[in-house]
Amino acid sequence: MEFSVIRRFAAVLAVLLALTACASQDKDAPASGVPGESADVYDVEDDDNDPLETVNRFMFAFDLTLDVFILKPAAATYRFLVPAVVRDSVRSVIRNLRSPVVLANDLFQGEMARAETTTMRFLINSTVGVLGLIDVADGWGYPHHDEDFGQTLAVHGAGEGFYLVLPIFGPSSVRDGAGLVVDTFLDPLTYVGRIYDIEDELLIRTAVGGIDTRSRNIDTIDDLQRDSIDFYARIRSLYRQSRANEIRNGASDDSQTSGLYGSEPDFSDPDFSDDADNSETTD
Amino acid sequence: MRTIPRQLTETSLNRRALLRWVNGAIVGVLALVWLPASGRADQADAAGAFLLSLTDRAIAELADESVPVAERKQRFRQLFNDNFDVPAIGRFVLGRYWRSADKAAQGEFLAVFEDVMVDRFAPQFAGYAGTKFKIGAIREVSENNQIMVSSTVAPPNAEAAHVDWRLRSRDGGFKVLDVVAQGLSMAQTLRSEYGSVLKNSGGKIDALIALLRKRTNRAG
Repeated sequence: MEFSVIRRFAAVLAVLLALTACASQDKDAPASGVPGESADVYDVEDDDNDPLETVNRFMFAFDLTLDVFILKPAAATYRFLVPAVVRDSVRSVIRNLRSPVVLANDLFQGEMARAETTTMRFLINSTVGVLGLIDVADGWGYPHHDEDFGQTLAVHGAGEGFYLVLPIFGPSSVRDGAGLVVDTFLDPLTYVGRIYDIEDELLIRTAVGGIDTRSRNIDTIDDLQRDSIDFYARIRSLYRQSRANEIRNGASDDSQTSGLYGSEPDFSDPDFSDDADNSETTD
Repeated sequence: MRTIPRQLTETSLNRRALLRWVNGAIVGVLALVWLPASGRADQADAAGAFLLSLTDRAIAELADESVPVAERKQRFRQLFNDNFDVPAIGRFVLGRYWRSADKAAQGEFLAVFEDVMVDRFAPQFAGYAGTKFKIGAIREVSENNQIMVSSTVAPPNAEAAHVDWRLRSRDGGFKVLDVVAQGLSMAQTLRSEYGSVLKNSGGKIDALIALLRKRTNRAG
């Protein structure tokens, strides 16, 4: 049985390397993983890099339906019934369980300081924090951060491939979807369940984590949706920007010559400068 | 015997003159380097001060929930028009479709765009009284008189957020071009969304305007 796991892991790695190799051929792709990015392409159609848009829109609608009928009501009920202290404990336990995956990706990215933070968090919260129920480490100077294999691939130069909406998991990309698979293999919980014959432990954690995260975003997502005229396109843009931000680990984007925000031309395009030829037409 | 001291004095004079010239040159070069640098520092300070006063005013005028929504919207519209470069943002948001639209359509778009922004953001300040606002790094973007100011916004009952402001200096003042919260750019997001709508409607700006108008009417 263990052999089959290893064999499957090898297969996934092979597919992944092939994908990354394809993505790496895209010379235009910056570290943010958004391909086709170049400065001052004002008159060119913005590249959505979304060849499966029709399928993606269908999947997005499917996910939204699930959200409306299952996830959002569950999250709202959870927020209503469970006290905030308990909800914070739920989040702490889930984050603590994810520590090995975060640590592995910290190390893959050569982020030694962050790897140390993750290790200390796991040691402190698993002991003093009573099996992760209380996030003691945060107050001791070891704040939480997340990492995943999609980000690791991006740090090593992989482009996003293209935009992908996954069933249930929602907005993703070829790169981040592959990262999701690798993270599952990196997760000790995947193997603990096999050894002790516990079923669905990953599923339960994913479901609880999903409900907890959704319960913290109810108002934000409502706000986002209210004034939107193309929610799919809005979420696609926000997903990309958010991933680019995570890949930079929240540092301000210092690039000045290339597009700052995603695959579109940035403010350095001629119509955004002072001497725009038609600036007088706007009043 | 006499010639030697004369030579000495000559060379020492020359040397002194040379030294004076070198000193002068150093001071001159320093001044050239230093003056624009201090000018930049002034500009950065001014940009920080502009943002501090803008956020102070926004919270003072918009956070009070006892003020009727219509009144708060009016105040927001005033602040927005005074401190944001609305025409530039509208132009950026439309991207390549801006040029293909005629002046009437451009004006119509800017008007409805302003309404959309007012509806979206005027109510957002409710409950933000007591928000702590801290200015971080300020850096200039090479061209176009643009300045990026990073800040930390810490509302009383929520987690602190990292917010970058893209400003442009113009006529001795500043205008906001974009607000980037946790890496999410307002202008970029709208540009992607409107771009998608325009692409799907065959580039017709009228279709976009109609959709936006429907949204603002519904939001009331």
